[in-house]
Amino acid sequence: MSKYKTVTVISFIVLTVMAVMVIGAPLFTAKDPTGVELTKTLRQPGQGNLLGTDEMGRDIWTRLLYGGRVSLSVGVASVAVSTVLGVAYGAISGYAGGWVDRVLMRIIDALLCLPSMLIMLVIQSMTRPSLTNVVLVIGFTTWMQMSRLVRTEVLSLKEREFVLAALAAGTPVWKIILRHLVPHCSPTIIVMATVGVGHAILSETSLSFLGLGIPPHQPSLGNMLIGGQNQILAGAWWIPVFPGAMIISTVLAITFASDGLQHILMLRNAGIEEGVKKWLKISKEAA
Amino acid sequence: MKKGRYPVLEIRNMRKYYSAGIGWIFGREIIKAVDDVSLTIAQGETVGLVGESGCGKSTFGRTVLLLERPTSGQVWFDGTKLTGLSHRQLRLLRKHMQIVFQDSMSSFDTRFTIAEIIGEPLLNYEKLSKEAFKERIKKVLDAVELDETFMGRYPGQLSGGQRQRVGIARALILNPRLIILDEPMSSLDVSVQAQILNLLKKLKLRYGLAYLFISHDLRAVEFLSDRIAVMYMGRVVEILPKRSINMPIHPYSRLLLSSVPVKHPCLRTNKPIYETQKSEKENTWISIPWQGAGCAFRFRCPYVIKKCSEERPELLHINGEHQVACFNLSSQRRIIDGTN
Repeated sequence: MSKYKTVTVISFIVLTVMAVMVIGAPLFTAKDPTGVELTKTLRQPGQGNLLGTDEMGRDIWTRLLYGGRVSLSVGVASVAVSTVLGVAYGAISGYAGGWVDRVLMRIIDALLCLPSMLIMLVIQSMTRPSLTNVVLVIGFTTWMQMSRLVRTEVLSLKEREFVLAALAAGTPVWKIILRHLVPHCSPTIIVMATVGVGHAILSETSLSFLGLGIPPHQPSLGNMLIGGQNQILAGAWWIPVFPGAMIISTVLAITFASDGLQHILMLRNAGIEEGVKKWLKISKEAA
Repeated sequence: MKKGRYPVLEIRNMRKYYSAGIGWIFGREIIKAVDDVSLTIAQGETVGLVGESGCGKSTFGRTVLLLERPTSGQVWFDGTKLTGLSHRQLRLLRKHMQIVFQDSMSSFDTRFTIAEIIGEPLLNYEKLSKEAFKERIKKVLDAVELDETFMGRYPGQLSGGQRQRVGIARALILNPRLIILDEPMSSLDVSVQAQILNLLKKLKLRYGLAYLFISHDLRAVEFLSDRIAVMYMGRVVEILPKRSINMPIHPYSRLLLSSVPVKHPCLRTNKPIYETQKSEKENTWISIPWQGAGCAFRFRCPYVIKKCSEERPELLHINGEHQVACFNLSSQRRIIDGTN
């Protein structure tokens, strides 16, 4: 338990530091992420450029910060899209029950059968690559899991007496779903969403790596990887390594953080602070 | 119903069937939770509904409010036929009929404060300013004898009795005309039960409420009710006025009454508790023949005659308001004369 706690705390710290650096990117670098300097190509880390430069002389550190900004915001925004969609679909399906539920769930089964990466590739190759497109494509291909989980929770929650009480009190159905059922699913939703951010970042990098994600002139972690792949044999290891390390550490930190978050949310009774307190206490006792 | 009083609720031939079983391969069994029940509740009257666990009391209470749609039958509220109304129309009428649930904990959303729980019905029907809203909640908390410090608390922080008061407050806030009390005291200990009973009686007199009081506690029902309906296997077998609670006629009602502990040792008799013919195991087994033609109680009844398994007994007036559904009335009367 103690080890577990340390990992979670470290993950939260890593995520916070990354978020601060990425959001406040201009504070940490004075250079332009797209500024080409052909006199300074393929410089090693250290000499005037913290993490070196790529084949076009662009500063890797600067591109890492701005690229992280793009990748993280794609992650968060696409999860927002998939969460709204998944929760709405799942809650309606679960509450309606009966044949409506059956039809809606079979549609999800069908969608889950299609490999989401393939759909993303097809849609992306048909549309012009842009940030919004990437967000929408990832959002619209990853909501099914969320929807299934929420549907299961709602299915069991709606049998609880407080739903009947709300109905007897004259609460309209949409209000019962929004004010009673969805808040009760929030632990699941929060955890699923956090895991989803990690997945979305990976999807974005894969798409960008294949050249179908963020347009090449914009820095993103995936774009930096594809740019670096040609230079590895030339000995420029620093071009792919740093964005790669950034992707791995972000996704790992998100995964561990969501694990810890799940624990905290499980322990919570009246408020989140209480859950954190209880969680720390249990961790301490176990140590 | 007493003569001259206006019926606030009228239930006509209500049936609520559930199907249970594995499905279309093995066939489904029909469980008749409520089977052809008719009942009338007058303005300001309290009708007690007693019966053993699983006899369909709670289902009946919920179906009366149309929280579950009846399989057939009609519910009339204040001259309006509720069955057949759309959800929207029904929602407007829900204001006048409320329910207090058995388990006060699970009937509250644990994420809501007491003020939010009590205020939920209010906000569904009225637009109020924050002050007016608070004022209304204070007033209703006062009516159930809780002080206003409870407003910000969560249901988990309250004791069972306090929670049940909150449940009553939630039912009261819209000034309903009818409240269904679905075993409101079964999760409380005896002294708290008495407090809640007194409170319910006080509220009934103050607001002129009509209650449908569902319980398996005969003494509580006697305290609060004007009339008592005895239910067995989804059917009402006897409706008796309060004054004849100690002289029920239907063998099942007599079984129920004899199972109530006697208050004083002097009143104790050496007679065994009114026995039924078959063992407990056989009694609790519900199968189709129980709910087929004939009296549902015939398998346990010591006074069973041939007619009992052929025809279903209807409720018959035997003495003023007293109604019984039994074919073998003469034997019952003889026994009553013998014991009393």
